[in-house]
Amino acid sequence: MAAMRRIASTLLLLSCLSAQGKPYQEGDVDAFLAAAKAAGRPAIVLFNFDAKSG
Amino acid sequence: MLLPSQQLADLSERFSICLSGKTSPANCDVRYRQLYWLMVFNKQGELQHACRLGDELGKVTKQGFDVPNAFIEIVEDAIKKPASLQQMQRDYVAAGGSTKAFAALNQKVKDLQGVGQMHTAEFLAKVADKAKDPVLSRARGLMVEADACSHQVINHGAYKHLRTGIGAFVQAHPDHAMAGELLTPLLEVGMKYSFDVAGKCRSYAQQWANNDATAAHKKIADRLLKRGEQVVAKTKKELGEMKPSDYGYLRSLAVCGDAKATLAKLESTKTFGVFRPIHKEWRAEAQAKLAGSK
Repeated sequence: MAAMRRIASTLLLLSCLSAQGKPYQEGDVDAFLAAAKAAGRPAIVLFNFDAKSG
Repeated sequence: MLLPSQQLADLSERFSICLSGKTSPANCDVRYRQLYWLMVFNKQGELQHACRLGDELGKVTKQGFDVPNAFIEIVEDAIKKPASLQQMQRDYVAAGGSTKAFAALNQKVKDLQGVGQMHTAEFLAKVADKAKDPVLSRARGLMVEADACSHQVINHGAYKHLRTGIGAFVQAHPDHAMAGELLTPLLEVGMKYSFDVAGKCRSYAQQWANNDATAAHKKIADRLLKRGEQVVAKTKKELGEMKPSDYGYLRSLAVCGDAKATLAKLESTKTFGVFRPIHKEWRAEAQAKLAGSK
């Protein structure tokens, strides 16, 4: 039940983010971080998982 | 609730946001696969905080926040953290690898829920020569690497890398206090998915106690042999209490080096995912052992 709630909260949050008219970038995370650093902006990354990590 | 919220719009004004999909940022290796990790980077591009997003949202929404506000709370708390991982690494170098600086670095990795732990292990090895005790810094790197390995998805290559690293460390520094301590992660992590642990220990012992071996080499080789025998005896006892269908039964057969039983069990076991290279290795080593005993 708790796990379901966690998943639901996460998916709901992602839906909220999507509904913002895409105020975010998708993919190419290292270039994204380099750009944020160059602009002097803090950054948030939401990462699922991949085969090479974990 | 699904409509755009002013809070999230405001947040995106202050923070760049990236949904990175299935690629983690460089040097941000994760422990275990989770449905979404949140990573927060400061304006210098350094990792300030990381957490399993679902767990954190669960905690904060229980305090009465809705999901968008809970997310903002999490991000606001994260960016206020006193230091980034990279800052703690710089502090470690500046302090000459002091015990205090190492403890602080370890605590930061713990606060990050293990994100960047493998990177930190590599860092400790890389900056070893800048520490007052370079050998100790290398040993710490191996300990951190072992902890990372033991808290991630089973990874054949990572275990092998750890075994190689510890083996080389003990060979080079048999009389260092950490050499004895590293036997535990060598056995419990590095050899957790090894076929014939006693045989592996004999192989390391032979390497360490070769022609130009010192008394320290021989002493630590003996320690490893004894520890290896203990692991096998314990695993045999556990096997006696298990059913063949139990999880871990095949691994236990392999650890004990029972070639015939391991091969028979492999025949009736479906191999998938992370176990493919491990089962392949067990099969090859069990066949070689049987062939050698004929």
